[in-house]
Amino acid sequence: MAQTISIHSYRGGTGKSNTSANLAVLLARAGNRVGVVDTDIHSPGIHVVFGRAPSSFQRSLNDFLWGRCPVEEAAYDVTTTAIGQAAAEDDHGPRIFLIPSSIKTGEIARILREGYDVARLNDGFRELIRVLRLDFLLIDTHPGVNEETLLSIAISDAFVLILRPDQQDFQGTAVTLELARKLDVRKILIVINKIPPAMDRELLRQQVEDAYRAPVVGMLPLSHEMAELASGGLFVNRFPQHPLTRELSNVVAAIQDGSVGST
Amino acid sequence: MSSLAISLELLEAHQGHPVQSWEFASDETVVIGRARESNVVIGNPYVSRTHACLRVNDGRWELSSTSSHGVIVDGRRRDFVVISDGTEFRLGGQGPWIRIRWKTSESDEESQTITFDPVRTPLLVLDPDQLADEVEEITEGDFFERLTELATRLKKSSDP
Repeated sequence: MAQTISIHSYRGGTGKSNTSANLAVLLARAGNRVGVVDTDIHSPGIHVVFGRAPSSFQRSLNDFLWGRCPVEEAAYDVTTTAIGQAAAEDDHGPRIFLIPSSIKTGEIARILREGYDVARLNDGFRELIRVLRLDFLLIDTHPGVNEETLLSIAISDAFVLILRPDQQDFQGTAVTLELARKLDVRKILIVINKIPPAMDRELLRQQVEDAYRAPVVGMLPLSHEMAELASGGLFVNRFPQHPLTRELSNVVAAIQDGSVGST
Repeated sequence: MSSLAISLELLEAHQGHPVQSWEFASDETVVIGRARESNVVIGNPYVSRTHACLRVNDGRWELSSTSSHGVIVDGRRRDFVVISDGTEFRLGGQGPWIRIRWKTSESDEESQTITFDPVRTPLLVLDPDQLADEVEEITEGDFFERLTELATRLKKSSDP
């Protein structure tokens, strides 16, 4: 059965979109059909990581939410860019589909003004899973706690919470975590991103796990390479041997752990 | 003896931050390579299975290349070099950078442990009262109740 995974951070700038895109690639490389939905409608960006110009999308999630098209019309197959030609040509091979949000200022403003129907978004997720025969649907959420984001989290099978090792993220993330528990999210995974090289990683892990009572499944080092890539590509493809890639693989293992045959 | 102990730091870039480090005493021979049985395993396609070797000879650390790609020190390809504190070398022309550091003697280490280094200790502190207040602020009242109901309904309708 397909797993819906929402990926969230309390504040912006944690590397959430970049992490989501790279997790999608690693999940696909493990043989899965993966969909990535950009529900960060207020500040979309994940399409950039997949190397797609906004002009290459005729439809977006916004069009679906406003009833202009079925959701699968806003899904773009990015398998070739993400995991290569060979995989894309194999009919039974893995796939990555990207469902972008509109980057048109007017359309972003409309969403900010009117919000959107979360029940319809939920229907869209189910349609995507069914029509595209997905194994995993990743939801790149909007930072902070608004109603739409909380609902996306609530309907997910797993919740990946990304934070940086700083005090403000630490306190704010704890609030989101408590809300997710109250919303009965069964599987909560913590990822710490942008860890400075000199920081004591084990001490950091201990502090976070003790305070949050949730497993830290990835500790991503602050990386020059990631900064230089500046969202202009997929890190795990460019630096397959990098410690950051290894940590992302651990996150993927934790996501997949128990997902086979679970209810 | 301990004054000859070294640490090897795998750097993210030339003169960059270390991403991984290893420590060795002076009586060890340190093999660096891609092979799993190396003392320092570097999973990088530009690194040879057995790329270089570090050992103490005559009271000083010597680095010798065992790879046809050699090691690069100060911009020059070398097959053998005597290491000093802070020496940086590259495994082949395309490979990763490594920096050598002298480990401080035991008495130095003791005095270091009492100096406070803010970078090493994240000291993240959760304020439980603030947390409880903020959570309550969101969850009290009918907004969160409606949200929970809607979530439950959506989850039910999602189950096949």
